[in-house]
Amino acid sequence: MRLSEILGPDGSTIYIQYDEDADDELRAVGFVEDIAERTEKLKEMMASTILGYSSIVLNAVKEANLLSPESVTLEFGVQLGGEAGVPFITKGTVQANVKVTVVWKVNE
Amino acid sequence: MSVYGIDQLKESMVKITDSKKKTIAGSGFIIRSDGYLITCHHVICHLASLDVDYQGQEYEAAWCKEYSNPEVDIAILKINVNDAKAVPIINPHDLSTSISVYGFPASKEKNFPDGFDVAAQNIRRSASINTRSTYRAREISANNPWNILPKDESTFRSCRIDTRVDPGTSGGPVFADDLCGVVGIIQCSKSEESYVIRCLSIRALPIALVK
Repeated sequence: MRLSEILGPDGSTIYIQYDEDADDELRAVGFVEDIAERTEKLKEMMASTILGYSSIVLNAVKEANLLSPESVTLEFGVQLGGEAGVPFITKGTVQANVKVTVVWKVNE
Repeated sequence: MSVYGIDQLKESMVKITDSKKKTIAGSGFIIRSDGYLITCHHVICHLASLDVDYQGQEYEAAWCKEYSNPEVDIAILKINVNDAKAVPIINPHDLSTSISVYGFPASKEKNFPDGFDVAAQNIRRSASINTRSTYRAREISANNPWNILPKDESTFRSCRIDTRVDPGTSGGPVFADDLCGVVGIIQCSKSEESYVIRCLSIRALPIALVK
């Protein structure tokens, strides 16, 4: 395992552990201090990963033709892996790793 | 009889610094006693100035365009110094040797201020590598003559070694332990292997430059 650094909201350094085996890209080994660039890239990729995955699951709920739910809550894990902590959705095991809660308001 | 080894190699090492960010940019080594040194082009291509540290002294280096070759990731610099310790450069046919890579990885600077060496049991000739593909994508904002990128199709002739090296090592010498000479310049790395620019690329420069 190796560590990558990003900047926290208060400017502090946050360390992300990632799997070295996933680091399979041939890179020139000059040193470039790019912590701000890495932070920005991580933020963008986190946003697009979460939005993309949410859209897929929500579309699946819509296509199920459920009777107008009041709310849909999604819960899933995002893991940071690969070079510099590239985000990806946690791999599921026997149980699905996404929890979907659909709420209907029942009129009595 | 004195044997040339890692202790002697250390006396030729040059640290390339990024004075703007106050960090190490890469490594290099003296190839001629009148101050010519070699590093990788990707180490200097984004720098606004060429500041180097040789034996604890800081120098502003000149880029030697006529001897450098960005297409094979070679940069030749010159500092104003006399009696610098040049490394023995060799280009052996038989590469049956273990090697040591010497450089200045930023991650090791605190514990190893004079440089860090990494050993590998084997070195062997490998396929050519696309030079630009190993560069990290970045825009070059400075406008000095050396602030250029290699062409997309350029390649360099490489050797493969079976170890990883850390960022900051680029431009450092790859020293053949049994042959007592430098056989290449470390260029890129991934999980468990690294690639070396063959000294052949240096010899393509005017032969008078390399003793």
